[in-house]
Amino acid sequence: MWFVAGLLIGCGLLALGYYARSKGAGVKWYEIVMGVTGVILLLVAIHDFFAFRAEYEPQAGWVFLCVIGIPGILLILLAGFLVWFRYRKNSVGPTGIE
Amino acid sequence: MGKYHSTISRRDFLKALGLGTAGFTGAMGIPAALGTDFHDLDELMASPMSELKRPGYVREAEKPSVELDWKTIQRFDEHLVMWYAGLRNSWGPDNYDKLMQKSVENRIRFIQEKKPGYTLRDQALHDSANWAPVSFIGPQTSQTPEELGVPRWEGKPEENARMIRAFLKLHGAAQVGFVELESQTTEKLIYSYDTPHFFPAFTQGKRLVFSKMNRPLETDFERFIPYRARWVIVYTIRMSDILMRYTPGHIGLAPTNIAYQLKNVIQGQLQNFLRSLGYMGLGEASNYNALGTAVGLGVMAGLGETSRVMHLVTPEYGLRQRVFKVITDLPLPPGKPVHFGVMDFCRVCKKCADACPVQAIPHDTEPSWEVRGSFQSPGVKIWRRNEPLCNAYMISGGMVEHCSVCFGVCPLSKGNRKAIYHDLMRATISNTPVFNRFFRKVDDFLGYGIKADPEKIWDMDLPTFGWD
Repeated sequence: MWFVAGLLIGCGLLALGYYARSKGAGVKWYEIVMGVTGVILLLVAIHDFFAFRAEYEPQAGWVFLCVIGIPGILLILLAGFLVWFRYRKNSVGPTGIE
Repeated sequence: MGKYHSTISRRDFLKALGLGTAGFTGAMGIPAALGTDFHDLDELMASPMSELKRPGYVREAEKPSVELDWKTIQRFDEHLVMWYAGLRNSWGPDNYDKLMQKSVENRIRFIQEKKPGYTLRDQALHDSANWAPVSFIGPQTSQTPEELGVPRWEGKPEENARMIRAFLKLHGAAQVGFVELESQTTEKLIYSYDTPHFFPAFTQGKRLVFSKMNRPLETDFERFIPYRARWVIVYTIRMSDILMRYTPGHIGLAPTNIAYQLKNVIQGQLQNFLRSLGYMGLGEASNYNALGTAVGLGVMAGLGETSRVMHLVTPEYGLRQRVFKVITDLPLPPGKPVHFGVMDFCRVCKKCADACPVQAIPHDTEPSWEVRGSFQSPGVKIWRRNEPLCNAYMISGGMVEHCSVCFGVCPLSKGNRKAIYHDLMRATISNTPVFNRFFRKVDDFLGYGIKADPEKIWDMDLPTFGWD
């Protein structure tokens, strides 16, 4: 499961990187750190959600999903927003026209 | 050539035993359902089953994490423990009789009231116990090498350890360790008098005597352990995590009963196995604990650490296993005590003490050398339960021998470790005590602890033995 997840995420990130580069949007180091941290948190939250359910501890699963998964999603969104925001800023010319 | 080097190959040895390549697994009576098939003992010993793999955060040490004063520790008379004479000695005969009367009354009343965990079917679960015969010397039904006309098995201690570990795990044991008996230390963990066998019992059982005899012997009053039997095989059997959350009551008690009943079967098999190899296996002559102190031997074998509730906590299952032992003259490498932060965690967690229905578990931060009565052994600096109170509560609950709420709430007791969180937590507490209080709070926050509605288990798709 981890192999497949790693493969999909790796391909996804690679595609995202190529896309960003093709559009001329650079990615800063802290955006990578935020994005990777967010992905790890989200994966752990999803993994443990099912693991806790397998333990017959659904409450632990939901709590863990909220406490770890939501910050993970927020970090991913924040990293994406920062990249997008800079791209928008750079692509707008001095006259304010794209 | 090593001291224990065999003069015949293992393959030849097995051929001589008639096991050859005809299917070792089947020949040993190992259930096919286990999905294993070993052609000979070599394959079995080379399998992962023969190793005690510990998580990376478990550290071996020369001394256990619990402080011991070996000069004060003496061999203990098991009939004094709470399960036998201890309870009546503590409360007095009159109060004891009243307690037993209340127990019988409550048992019936709870069934009539359909109290969850104590209904008729729950009571039937408890009463379903069917104990295989168990004895000190063992069933003696397997053929010895002498009877077969072949030399006995000879192997290096490490090889023997792998073999015994593989054998026991194939038959249902969870963890296996070894203790070498030394007169000034570990020999004191063997009881002076064995269990009276029956519960409740108020008289001494048989005296356990170390003797110069070559063979073990059992008389009406004594059990003789030959000095050449210097090694104790200490093994555990898991308890169901799922059921342990429905305590107190018959549902929560079932994992204990199941483990003890399995022990009777496994012990006989191990004794026969050792006999077939040409060695003795001296077991626990009781359906419950006997022969020696389970926690002490478990700690010295390196299976785990002791805890606030006076039971063994292992890295794999926390409190949720039962510990058993067999003495043998098969040379085995002694284990080393392990540390993984349990004592420090118990200092601040106290979840068991908070949850105990009769507050029999101390809240003291530091353990003590003080004993609470003759039912406890001195010379160990531990937290000591108020056992008269603890056992009286259990018995008043309708002959429920174990309350086990402490087993149900312990944050370290998570046998199913699929969640990354569990290993992260254990690895952290093993390396630093700084986050111990935090992890206790997280355990509460995640909702771990005793669950309501034990009757739910009857509709669950339970795993075999309840071991998830």
